Amino acid sequence: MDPEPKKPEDSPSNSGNSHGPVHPQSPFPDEALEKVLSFVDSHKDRSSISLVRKDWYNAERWTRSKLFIGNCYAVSPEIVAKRFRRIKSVTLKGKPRFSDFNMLPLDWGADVYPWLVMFAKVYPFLEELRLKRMTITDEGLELLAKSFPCFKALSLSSCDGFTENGLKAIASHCRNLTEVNIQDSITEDVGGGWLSCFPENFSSLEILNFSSLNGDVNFDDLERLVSRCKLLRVLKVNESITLDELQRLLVHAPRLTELGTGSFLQELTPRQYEEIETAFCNCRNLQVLSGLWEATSVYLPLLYGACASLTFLNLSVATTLQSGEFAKFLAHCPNLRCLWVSDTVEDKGLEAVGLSCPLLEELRVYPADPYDRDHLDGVTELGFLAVSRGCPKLHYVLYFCRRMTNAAVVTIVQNCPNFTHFRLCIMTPSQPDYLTNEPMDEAFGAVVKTCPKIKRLSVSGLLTDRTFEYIGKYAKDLETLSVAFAGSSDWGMQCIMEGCPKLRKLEIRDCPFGDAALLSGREKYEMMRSLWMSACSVTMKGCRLLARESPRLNVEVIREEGGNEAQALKVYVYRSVAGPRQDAPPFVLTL
Amino acid sequence: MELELGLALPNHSANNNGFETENHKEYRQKRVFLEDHSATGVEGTTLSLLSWSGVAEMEDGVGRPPKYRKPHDDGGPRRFEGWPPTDSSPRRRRSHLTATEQVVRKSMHVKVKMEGVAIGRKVDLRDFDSYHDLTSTLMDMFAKYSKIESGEEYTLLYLDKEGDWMLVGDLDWEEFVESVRRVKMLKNDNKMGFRLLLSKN
Repeated sequence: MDPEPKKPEDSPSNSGNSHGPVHPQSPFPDEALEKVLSFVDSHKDRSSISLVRKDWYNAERWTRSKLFIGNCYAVSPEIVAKRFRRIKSVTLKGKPRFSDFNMLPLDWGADVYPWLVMFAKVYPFLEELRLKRMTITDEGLELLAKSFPCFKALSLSSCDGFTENGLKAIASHCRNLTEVNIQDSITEDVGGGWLSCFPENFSSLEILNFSSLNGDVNFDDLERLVSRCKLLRVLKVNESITLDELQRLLVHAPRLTELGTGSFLQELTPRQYEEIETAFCNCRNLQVLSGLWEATSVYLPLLYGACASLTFLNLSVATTLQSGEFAKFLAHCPNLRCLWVSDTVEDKGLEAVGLSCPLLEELRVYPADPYDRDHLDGVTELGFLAVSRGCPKLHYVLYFCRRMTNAAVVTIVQNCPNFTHFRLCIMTPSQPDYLTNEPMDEAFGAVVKTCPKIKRLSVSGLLTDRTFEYIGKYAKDLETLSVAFAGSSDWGMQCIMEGCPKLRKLEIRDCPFGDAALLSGREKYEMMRSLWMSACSVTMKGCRLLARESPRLNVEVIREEGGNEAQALKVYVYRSVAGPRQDAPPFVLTL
Repeated sequence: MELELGLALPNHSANNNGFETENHKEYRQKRVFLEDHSATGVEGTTLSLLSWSGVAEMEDGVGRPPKYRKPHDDGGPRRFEGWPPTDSSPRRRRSHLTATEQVVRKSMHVKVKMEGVAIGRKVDLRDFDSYHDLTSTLMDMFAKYSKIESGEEYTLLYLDKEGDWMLVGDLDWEEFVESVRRVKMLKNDNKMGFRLLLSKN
């Protein structure tokens, strides 16, 4: 996307009153350029713009108001503060993704506090803070609450480090808050008392999501809050809110576009049942529905009235849902574009998806019981096939299953050649095609050959280097690749490093890739956001060599207790202009 | 409020400004900084560079082994950490209760409702050691609130961890305690069978 072309009235030859300085070779004055740039939102476009010439770089840095930092250690607060002067919105991402699966030690880092200190000094008009996989302590939240009088939106995704005290500070001090959005919180036992700290005259909230926090909230305070926030459009409560309490909330907020219910398990009197049913029927604008903990067949029909305009249904925590009631429910959701579900619905449930959801674009099937290795339930290749037959627009899939075949995947991508995100997780490591006993190479080969737009790929099952040959050769748009228990030799990883021109994030675990493989990417890592390698065959020597050759990379090794000194069991490599981390804990070595 | 621009972590007491919290997390107390990290300001970036030369530091006693989050699921053997790569957040784990997982329950309080009585009670199952013990206590509790005619019998139902209403008595006491989430008492009368059916809804 190019910035808007300049308007004729602004060119120096036409305008008699250009105010700003005009560079001799510049076609138009700085002010005009800045005005045009103020319409450019995307940080990727802005990055490109800043590289054109010096005056464009300057115009861009003065007009940028949204900051996106994909890796908080790639740059430092000081560098950011020097370059940008008028920031209103910040998005910061911290830990590598595998921290979601508990593969990173506690206190590894990514504490936002130093950033907040800098922002308080340089960006007093900050309005939004969006963090992903970062640590934010109560002190951080308190600093945030007290330093930015215009603060509006707080979004924490997969963050930890805080308790209800921090949230209390936010609720008490931020007068103009429109958004409190806490998703997938890793922090346990955050009490619910903070919800009662919003002042009585506070009414600006539009988005409230505390579904991933455990603590019981005071329902009366919540009800009062919801009733006075007339602009509320997103409400996602936690499990402590019962069905009849939810009904009372819905009565105050029928214009919700996104709803996350609380517990769906409750014994209702006929009168309550009717009241709740009516409340849901009155939610005519609902597009997104989630929650539904412990939902059973008895109460799902309550929702039917709210489903006509539903585009995103998240049933991933409704792990008691079975295929029959799920199928009946789907019949009421003709406009679904995005569905997240638990594998308790089984293949039969997915057949219903194929029949009822022709507009489906995204499907995620999560395992209800991932650690039970004897469990034979869940979904198989048949369910995936059924969806691909009925949903030609499907382009995003995350699928956890216990068996798969090459032939099924070949058919699936023929049915749906528009895949952009293909994340297949066969849960037993290194499991072959269960019918032919062959590796799953041809499956992923088919994915990259048939789907030219593939941007994100997660591979699993028994895989040889052949899979990586295919990926390196065909996946020209691939940006993110996740590999586990796969490959035969260094050659596999080399194929990736030498192919895949757009690769940005690579995460590898338990693969036979060693130093040669690691070093084969030395030219590429600076063009990527990061590389993660764990339980591979990489050594400290190899890591040191990479570090020596690449001054603009941080090569970090996480030392475990009692490990072999020469092995590098957890390696994290990322480009950075800020040099080695200053806050690394003792078990993180920067080489 | 003078804010010092440091990349140090929150236990730099200069910046606390009275923001004392009870959040004394382990890492903040035990972390040892080798040097003062405060930057001189926005322009000057004279940050001291620490170089960790690796193994030697660990042996000095500065290093300590990394700790991980406790996994939330309590059941099933796991060969590989972090596998399958499904988010183990409390939100997901809490509501999935199957026979194969051993759930550690913090309290044994269950709600008890008697048919015809608007207000329910709560009992702690740890106080009882048999069905008889439980039922006689329940009768005593509810006798206070409703006139229970002598000779009237009640049928006890319970809500199990899978969300189904079941008749009390089929399981061992211990298994029952593991499984029960709520208790309901229905009056025995002629239409008992029918009412048992209705009560499931």
